Amino acid sequence: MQIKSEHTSPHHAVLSPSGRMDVESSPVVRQAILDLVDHGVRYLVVNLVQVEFMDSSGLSALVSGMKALRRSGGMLTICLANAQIRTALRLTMLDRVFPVYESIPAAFEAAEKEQPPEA
Amino acid sequence: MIDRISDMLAQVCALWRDLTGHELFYWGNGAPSSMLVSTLESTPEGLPAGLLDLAPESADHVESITLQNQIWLAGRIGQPPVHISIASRQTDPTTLSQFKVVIHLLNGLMEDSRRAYQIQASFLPTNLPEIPEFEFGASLLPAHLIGGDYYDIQGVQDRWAIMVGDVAGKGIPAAMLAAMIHATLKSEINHHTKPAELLQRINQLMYAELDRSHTFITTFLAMLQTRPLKLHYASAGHTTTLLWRSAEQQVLQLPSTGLPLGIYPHTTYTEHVVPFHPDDILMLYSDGITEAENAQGRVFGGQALIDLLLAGHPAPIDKQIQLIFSALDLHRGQLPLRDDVILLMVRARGPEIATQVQPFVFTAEKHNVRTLATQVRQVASGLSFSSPAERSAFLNDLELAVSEIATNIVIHAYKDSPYQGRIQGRVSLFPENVQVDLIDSGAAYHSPSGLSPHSSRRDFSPIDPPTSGYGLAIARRLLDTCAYTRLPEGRNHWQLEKSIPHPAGISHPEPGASSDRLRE
Repeated sequence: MQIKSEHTSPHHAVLSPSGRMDVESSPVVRQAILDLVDHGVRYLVVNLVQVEFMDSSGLSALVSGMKALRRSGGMLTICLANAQIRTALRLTMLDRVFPVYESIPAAFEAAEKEQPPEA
Repeated sequence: MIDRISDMLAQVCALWRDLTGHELFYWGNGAPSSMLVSTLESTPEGLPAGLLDLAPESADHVESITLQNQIWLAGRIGQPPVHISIASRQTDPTTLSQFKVVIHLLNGLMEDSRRAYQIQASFLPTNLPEIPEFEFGASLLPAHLIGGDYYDIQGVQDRWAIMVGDVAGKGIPAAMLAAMIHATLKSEINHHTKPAELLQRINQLMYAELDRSHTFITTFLAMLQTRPLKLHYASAGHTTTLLWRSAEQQVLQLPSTGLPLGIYPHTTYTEHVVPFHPDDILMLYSDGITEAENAQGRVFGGQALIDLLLAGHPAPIDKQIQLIFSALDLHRGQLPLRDDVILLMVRARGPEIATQVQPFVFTAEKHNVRTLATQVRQVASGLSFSSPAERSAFLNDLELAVSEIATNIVIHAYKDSPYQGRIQGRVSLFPENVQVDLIDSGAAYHSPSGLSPHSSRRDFSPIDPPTSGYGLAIARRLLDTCAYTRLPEGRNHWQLEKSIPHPAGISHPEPGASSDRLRE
């Protein structure tokens, strides 16, 4: 699992994991998100364009990450998820928590609006 | 072969030390490092430079040289590229003739060793019968090249005789006895078709030799009949035989029916008739498998073979044999096997239902979740779909479901175990669906309270979703069958199944409408 992270401002970052997000690799992604929060990131976009597969372990990492961002007054959004990832989100109803945005700027915009998703 | 020679050399060194008061040095030459016989014994004097380079022209030729004011004797045993140099100091005139005798003796032993290996390698069956009623499979993995295990499959009149045996003891004497009993069986089997009678006769014939060698032989002998399907067997103290009963989905251990050969001259044996139905499997093995140790000293064990039969029983016999050897490799890691490993399997052929059965075994480690999920996907891609979109959705869903169940096993089943557990199972392809069976020997699965199998709407607020607990729910929604059973002897069995959507109408089951069964 390779993870790239890029700060676009002191409080904005994009995390780009690649490969599979399952039980083996998800802890690494989760930790990467927590590290970014510790370094002051408030608006994090997780760009899933290079993620070929995600199961519930991957979803758990996203949820953990999102909660950490929220606790520090920020938000996590995702973008560019493939059909398989969308299925996983839909089956767990986490698609309401993580709408899939079609670009990084759109994802940042949504994160900054900090609108709670529709219940 | 190499280990036996080490033993021989060690004994000769001890003798030499007693006889002459000198050390006998030996080292391997010109062979890959894995075949080097020994290291040099370290003494205060060590060996003078120049001795190591000595190359006696032929076996039996002894060189006498003076190095650093000492007289040294050197000889060679064996043939290049694998030969061994032998050397000793000489301080007494008689040592030279004694050394020559030792070299001659060792060369003789090397030659016997080599010949015995050739004999043994030639008498073990490599060509298995191909007949419509039975499917045979056999594999022999020698740990050393000489041992006291043997097996045979032989057609006799209208039956098939299958035998496995184990000579107590090791080395060349055991191998010679194994060859002897094998030859005896081959000739006597034409005169006695009942297993009990045959063992009795063999015992009588071999008793004197076994008594003289202070050893005994355990043997299992079965006669398989095709019309009607029947299995008769007699067992002289041999306990390593399993019978997979397809109808009961259970493994039976076939007990011994008399004493080992060579204990008493007139032992009588009883014979058992065992029902042998289509899809039943008879498995004979040497205890080199069950006694194989891993780095922690833990043995592979008989339960492991039962797990693997449970996992692989519908698969072709040769794949099941590969499965068992894969599991054995996972168990022992890099450790070599200490004893011969014999595995012999016979299945009474039954109606073929599955298009393809692929068994597998993995260690229950996180990185193997991906390996298993992708392997299932790969086998399932053999199904026929009505469109690429349908194919893609089906395979994605199946891969996700398998990933969830495998994760569950890896995380929970072996959580409290100090040992590296394994997951074994099979992917079975049918014309319209795929089935995945997973067997593990970890802790029993208990569904978390509050998650009913039929809940279609999770009770969570989108602002504060749970961090975990989604896995099983996902799997149940994606599969047509997701059944868990706790088997006897502490085994878990997950059975997953997904069918190709019917052309008429429904594409995806509604969430919560899956027809899973949860049994404890």
